[in-house]
Amino acid sequence: MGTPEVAIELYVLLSAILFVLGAMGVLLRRNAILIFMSIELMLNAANLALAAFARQWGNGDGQLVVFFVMTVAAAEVAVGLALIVTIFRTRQSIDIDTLHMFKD
Amino acid sequence: MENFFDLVPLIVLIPLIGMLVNLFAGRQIGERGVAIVAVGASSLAFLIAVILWIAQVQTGYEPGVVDMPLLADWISVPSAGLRIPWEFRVDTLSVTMMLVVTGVGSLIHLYAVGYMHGDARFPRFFVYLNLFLVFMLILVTGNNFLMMFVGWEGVGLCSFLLIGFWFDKPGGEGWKNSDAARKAFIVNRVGDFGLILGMLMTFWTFGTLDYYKPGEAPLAAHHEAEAEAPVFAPQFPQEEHAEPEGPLGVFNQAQLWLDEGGHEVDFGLVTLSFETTLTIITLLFLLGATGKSAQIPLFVWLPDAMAGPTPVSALIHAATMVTAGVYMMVRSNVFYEASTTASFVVTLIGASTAIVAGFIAVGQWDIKRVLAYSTVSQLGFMVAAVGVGAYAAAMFHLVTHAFFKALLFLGSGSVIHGMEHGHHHLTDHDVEDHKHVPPHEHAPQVETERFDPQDMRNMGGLRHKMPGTYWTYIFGTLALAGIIPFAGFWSKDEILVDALRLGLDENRLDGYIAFALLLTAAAFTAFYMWRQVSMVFYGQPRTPAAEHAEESGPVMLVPLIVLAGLSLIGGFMNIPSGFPLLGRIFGEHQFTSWLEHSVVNAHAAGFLWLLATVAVLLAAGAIIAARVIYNDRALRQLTDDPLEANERTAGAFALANAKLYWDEFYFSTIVYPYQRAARWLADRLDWAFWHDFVHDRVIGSSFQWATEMLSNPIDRGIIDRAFDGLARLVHNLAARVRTIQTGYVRTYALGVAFGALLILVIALLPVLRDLLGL
Amino acid sequence: MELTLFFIVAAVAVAAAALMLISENAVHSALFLIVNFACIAFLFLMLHAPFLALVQITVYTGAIMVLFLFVIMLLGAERVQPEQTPRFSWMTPVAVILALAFLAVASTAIIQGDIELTTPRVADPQVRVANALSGAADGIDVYLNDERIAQDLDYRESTTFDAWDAGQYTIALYAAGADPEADEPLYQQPIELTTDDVLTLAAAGTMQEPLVVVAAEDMGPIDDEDGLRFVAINALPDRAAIDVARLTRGGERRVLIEGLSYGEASEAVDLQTGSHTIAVYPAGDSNTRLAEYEDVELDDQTAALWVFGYERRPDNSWRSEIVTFSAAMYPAFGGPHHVGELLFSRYLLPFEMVALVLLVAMIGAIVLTHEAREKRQRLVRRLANVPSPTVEQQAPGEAGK
Repeated sequence: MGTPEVAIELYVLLSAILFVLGAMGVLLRRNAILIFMSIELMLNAANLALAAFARQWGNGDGQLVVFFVMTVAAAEVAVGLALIVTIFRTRQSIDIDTLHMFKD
Repeated sequence: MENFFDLVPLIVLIPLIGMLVNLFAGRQIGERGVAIVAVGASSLAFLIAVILWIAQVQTGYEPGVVDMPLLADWISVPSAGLRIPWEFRVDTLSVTMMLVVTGVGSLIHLYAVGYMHGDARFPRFFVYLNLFLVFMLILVTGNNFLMMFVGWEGVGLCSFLLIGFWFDKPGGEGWKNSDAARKAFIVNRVGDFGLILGMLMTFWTFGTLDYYKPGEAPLAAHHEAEAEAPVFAPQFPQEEHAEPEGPLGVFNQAQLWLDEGGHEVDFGLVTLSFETTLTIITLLFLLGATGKSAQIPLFVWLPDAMAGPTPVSALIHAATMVTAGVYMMVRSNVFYEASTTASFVVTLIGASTAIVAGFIAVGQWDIKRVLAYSTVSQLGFMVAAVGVGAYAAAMFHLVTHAFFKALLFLGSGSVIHGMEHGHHHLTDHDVEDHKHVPPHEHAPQVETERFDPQDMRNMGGLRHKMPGTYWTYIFGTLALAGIIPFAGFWSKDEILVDALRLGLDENRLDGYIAFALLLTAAAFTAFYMWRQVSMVFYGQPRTPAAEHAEESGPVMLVPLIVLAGLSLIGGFMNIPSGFPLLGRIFGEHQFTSWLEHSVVNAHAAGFLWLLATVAVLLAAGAIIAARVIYNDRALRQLTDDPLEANERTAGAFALANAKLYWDEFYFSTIVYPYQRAARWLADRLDWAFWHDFVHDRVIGSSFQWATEMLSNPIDRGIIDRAFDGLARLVHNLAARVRTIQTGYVRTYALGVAFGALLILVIALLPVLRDLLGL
Repeated sequence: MELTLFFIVAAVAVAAAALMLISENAVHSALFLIVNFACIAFLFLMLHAPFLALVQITVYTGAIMVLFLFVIMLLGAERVQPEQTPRFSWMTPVAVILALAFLAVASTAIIQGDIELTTPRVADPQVRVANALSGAADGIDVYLNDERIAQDLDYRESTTFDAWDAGQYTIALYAAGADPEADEPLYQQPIELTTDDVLTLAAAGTMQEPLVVVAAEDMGPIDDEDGLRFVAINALPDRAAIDVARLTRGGERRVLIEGLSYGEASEAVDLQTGSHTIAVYPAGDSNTRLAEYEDVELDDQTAALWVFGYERRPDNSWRSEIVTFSAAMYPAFGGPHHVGELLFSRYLLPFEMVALVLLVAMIGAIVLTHEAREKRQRLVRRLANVPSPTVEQQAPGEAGK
């Protein structure tokens, strides 16, 4: 298992770019579902970095963490989408800016 | 057999468990359950006492000390060398007391089941009775003065609770009852004060309160052995009196110091010789005994204590608790034997109490009061016996007295019960019948006042109505009067012999005084007892209630019969030497030799035919005189006592009837001045000076001034402003900050992103610093 | 070549992410996200994580994104209705600046490369002991610096690998049951353990002339599925260098190792699984065959150690023998075997907890979507049935405010 041909830094850099794109999605989009998808993107970016580190260290632990992140993400999506469906039922909208129930 | 000694904690624990069960579950398990628990507990305790008795005999009367596992260091201050363990003592004296307390106690428990039937506070009564047993048994089984004191105070508490048991009786009766309870408690405080002082002095002198340390055998007095030893004989074997290792219990230590002689005790201000110390201690103990055992001058509480239910009078105020003082003095026989002065005082107090109380008893109308004064009188016999050094006789009389006085009280309770029954029978549905009864112009206050079922003037002729009660009562009366062969004869005779021997053999004045007074008191005893029997049982019924009186049930009669049997044969346990036939059957001086193992100064008295004959004849004469004076004709009309009618005896009777004005004397010399002083202190010192002046003026106004100062300039001016300003600041700040809380998710997300950036920058700070060349 | 591939895939991934971000239509966004995920799955492959790559495609691009699409279509929420006055118009520049700052900080940190990414893995040396020393009656005891590493180890047996601290040690062989304090060792020699070593300490030779050979093993995965790897040790007592060759069915001689001197271990050599005939020759002399071993069978994916030496027969004669010790290879990095092994050993507890989380999430999703409607109906019914005085005074419709 020699040195990888592509420098690990490149993977991490790509991961950072994707992460920032995801973050911008969360901050800028008003559609709740899109925000959700952006969060998934961020998670994937983090996963990419983890896999890259695992490769670098020749250690399986990083990959296991990726695996767990995926599983938890699946759980999160299930609950999150259920929430969105419920919110849509009550308010007939998934525009995040019309929701400010936290205030009261 | 010594393993059986370990059962002794149970004798306390079982009544305690019975008490707790009845206390917490009494209402639930009902009258029957309560009765089973209470009687069962006391009977089990009696069973244990019997086992301990057998164990004592089997072990050759070895005294045993048993400690409680959890309470081994009950009171312990290691740095001060103070250690008072919670230890039980099993020796012949304590076993005797255990047998009496639990045996008579069980019978009285059983009797009380019938007597208290239907009472609203039936469970509570038995809670108190079992609690009393607990404390009484602690008193007699403790191995040190402090445990005895715990029991001493505990029984005092139970006595208080039980005297005032009917505190809620209508028509002012309840007040009288609770007054009597308070009186008993307060008078006892005076005695307890003496006992505490005596205990403190004992502790100061000996450094311990234990009677004997575990494994320590009581040492007999040295001088007897020396007197018998020839002058040039080899020394007394040292092993026998060899000082045991470690500290000694108080009595052996006292015995050793007495044998050595010349020991002194340093009390800081004064240094007293050991003999003087013992005299002071014993006199203080005597004060305690006069309180608990109702001797002059503190006997006044006992007659009033008859306000309690009759089983209580029988158990506490006749058979057991009031004998605690006698027990304590017998326990401390080493001290009393050493002090002639104290013995003299004890003798004087005992003998004079015996005669004074016997005299007063003659003039009483209340059936229980007669018995109460009789009890005081008999306790005087016991105390006098201690005074003349007849410790075994005192204990003997204590035991027999427990039998027949319990019997008499229970019998009187049966009479009262029957009278109340007759009265209820009358008032319930026999109003017409009432008119048929010939009017009793002399029946006192029946119409005007509440009917008194205890007044002997309301009775008469109950012999036919209550035959069982009558016959057992006769047994008790003959025993108390000292008629051969009843129990009282033997014990009273032994005291008289001891007193006379002290006078004759040692030419001591107190022996003669005691003998004369006690012999007279014995005659009084026979007289007032037969007066009572005549008034209660003979003649014709003097009220409708007496007419309709009914015999009590078997629950009450069985204890009476058992006690009557004991009153008959109880004296045979200590037949004096030289008495024909009986001595050979039952053995001579059994009880005394039994006691000698724990009461080192106990000794057997002989038997004087002349004295015994005189005493019996005197008693018989008094009985006949009583029957002659209270003949059937005199009994028919009983507004006045026949003695009152006779001019020669009228004054004496009035004196006896007024209890020698003893209570009035105390009222005018102690209670009234005390009340005046208290009132003055309350009005002047407390209210006028302390409250009006000190509190209102001095403290109140200065406090107001101070608070005014604190509140206006300081509190309002400085503190309030500061906090108001702070609050306003927070309010304004919050109004600004509040706008951050928009409720919109995206603004929060922005905050999170900002925070994440911040954390990233901080985490990469070293890298970034290198990069920017800082 | 690989670098080019990486840049292409990375470019596609970034482009897909950016397009997802700016698409007005949510369905388009979801499709772009699928593309992005597929790219990441490809990158996983490149990172030696084939298992994760497949999971990424099935779970993410498959299950999760389908779920997204389904919800979007169900709610008809492709577009958010434009609001008259956008509420947070100031937020766009702020967010962009923030994101750029984030990217700047992260990328500078990554590019200047001082975040200790490249520190190589350090593993403690792994050591096992193998006994090819014929003649010891009850086997041998082996000590490393007074610490016993093997006890009563019989001929042809080996211990499992144990981790040791790196450093200088002395290895000593004793007859079984000997007291290391009192008895003389059969043989001892110093050895050095360094990090990342995987060593077999093979006791070999004869009782008269024992020796310990330190063989470095390569437990790394073998690409060839039917392959195996072996290391040979020369312990033949004539102390000559040898060649080791494999004889094919046709009698051809394929040399595997050349010039292996006495007491040395060879480099690791890869070989196909199967039954082989192995022959030993003096070094450089293909005519004199020292020994021949028929039917040497070896499993695939194992690392084998061959010790050539003499075995003492029961009749005290000696015979040339080959002693084989084998050990399982490390599974291929990132493969399903590797991940599965980790999951069922070190990560069993987290795995079960994650499973529990999934279960709870499932129940939660059901409860959330179900209970809400139920509750509202009940609320409405209550409002209708039991009018509280305050509710009654309000006009219908005002109640919510």
